Amino acid sequence: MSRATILGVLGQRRLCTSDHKAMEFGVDGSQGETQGPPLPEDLAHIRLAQSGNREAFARLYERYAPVVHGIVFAHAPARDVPDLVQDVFLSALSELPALEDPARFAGWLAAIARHRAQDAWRRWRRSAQALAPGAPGASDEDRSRAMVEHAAPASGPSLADRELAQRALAALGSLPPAYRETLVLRLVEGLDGSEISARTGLTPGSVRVNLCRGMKLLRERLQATGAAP
Amino acid sequence: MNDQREEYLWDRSGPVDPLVQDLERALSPYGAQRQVSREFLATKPARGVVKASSCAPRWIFALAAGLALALFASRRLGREPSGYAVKGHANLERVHAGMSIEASAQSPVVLAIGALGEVELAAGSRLGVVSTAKDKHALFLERGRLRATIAAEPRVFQVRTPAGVSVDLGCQYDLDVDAGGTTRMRVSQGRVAFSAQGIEVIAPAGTSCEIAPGKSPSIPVRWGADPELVRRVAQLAESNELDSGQVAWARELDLIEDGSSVWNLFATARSSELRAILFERLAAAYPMPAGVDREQLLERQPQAMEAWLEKVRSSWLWQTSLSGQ
Repeated sequence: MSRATILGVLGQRRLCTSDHKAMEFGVDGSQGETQGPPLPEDLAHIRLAQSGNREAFARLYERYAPVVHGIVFAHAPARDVPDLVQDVFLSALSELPALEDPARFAGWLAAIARHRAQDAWRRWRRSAQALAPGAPGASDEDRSRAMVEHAAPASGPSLADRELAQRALAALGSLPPAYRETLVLRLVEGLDGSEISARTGLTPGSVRVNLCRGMKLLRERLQATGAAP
Repeated sequence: MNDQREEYLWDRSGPVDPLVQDLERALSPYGAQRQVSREFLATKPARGVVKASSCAPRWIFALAAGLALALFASRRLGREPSGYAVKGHANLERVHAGMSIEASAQSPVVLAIGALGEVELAAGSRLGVVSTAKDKHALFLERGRLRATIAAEPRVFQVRTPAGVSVDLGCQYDLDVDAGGTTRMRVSQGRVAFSAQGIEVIAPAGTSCEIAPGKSPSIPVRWGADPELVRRVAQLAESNELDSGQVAWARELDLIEDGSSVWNLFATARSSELRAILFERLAAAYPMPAGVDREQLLERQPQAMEAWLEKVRSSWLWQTSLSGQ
């Protein structure tokens, strides 16, 4: 992220309570504002990958895998996440030569991930409804359960952390999609605000609003369950 | 939220927000990077005590779901049409277990597999319906080609062929049975288990493999792989004893680009020496899950293998994203 952009971001304050119009992508993954061009090294890799350079695509994978994983994790049933990440990158590899403007790569890849995740979510709901209308999985509220069930940590969390994670994932599942996605990228994938902006195509201001308002809601919901002071 | 908390949430600058820090530590193991970053390792130890009742809500939820399912099943039993709807066939609108269907030489037909997905049977192909039970959908591809696009619980849907069985793990794939009964599979989404002669391989998206009648499945290899790599992988899988060249080559197999091939070699190799070499390589890259040990994996105990596979296959993302189209 450029220094100018960072300075611009730092100029924004108290977005939780202001009337700043946040970018909140729709349920269909559409986006409002977009940001400037991606980092120069990303652009170089994107152009090389478009010409069939697999090594360049590998570098893009390395940089964007956490974003794709985070988006899919935020919107799809947890059990489907590993396979969906594969599918997103396979689609990207296949469609990349047709991407006219390499500067739009981040938003384009994020949109693929959102669409794949939402397709998976709809399949999961249809499947649940076919088995038992009204049963778990038939409504958006059950995202919480879908996020928690089958979500497997790689290794290592203590029991206390595991319980906090379970409660946090359940609470995240109940948040609006834009807040949920941005918080997953920050708290699960470990990206900071400027990285989220650069790798999703969202403006820094939108990321900041989503983080701030989403964290406020998450904090309230965790406090309500006794999981946070 | 005040400005200082906001800055920590934004980029970890400013005073630490304790809740955000706790959440970073607790949630980071769920992320794509699959490791806790250094800054989390340096933070305070885990706090609190897990309450014995913490699992109760999930049990109650599961019980309620089970009751709802049972109630629904008892009400709907016998009312749903059985078999699969057929589109594109001149004479058949529905097929049932025990029936066969043949696509004309000019056009494909499509079978709707309940709410799970669909199977497109290519022109000139012939397919039998073995089972349409809710918990087991089974077809028999006698000849020709099909494309299965299925979204179901793993192992609910399978396609048998004269040479073996493909078992869906949530995916899209193509099967092709030639005149001699040899079955070729190409996986474009998700994963498929492909088995014959008591041997099962796992083929992820971006790989292909085949089974000749009476043989075990070949090791899945990425699309567009060098024919020399395909040949050497097949030789390794078949060898009871390795020569020095094979040992050296096994030590150099790319764990990233050919990760699923390495796993399947480990899971099915005849040679105990090869198993040991590949185990050491995989174990160095992927920690064994809790409760799983070296002996269990070298003995290829199913539960231990299943648990480890969940960790190992995370790296197959590399392979599938780099495989040829």
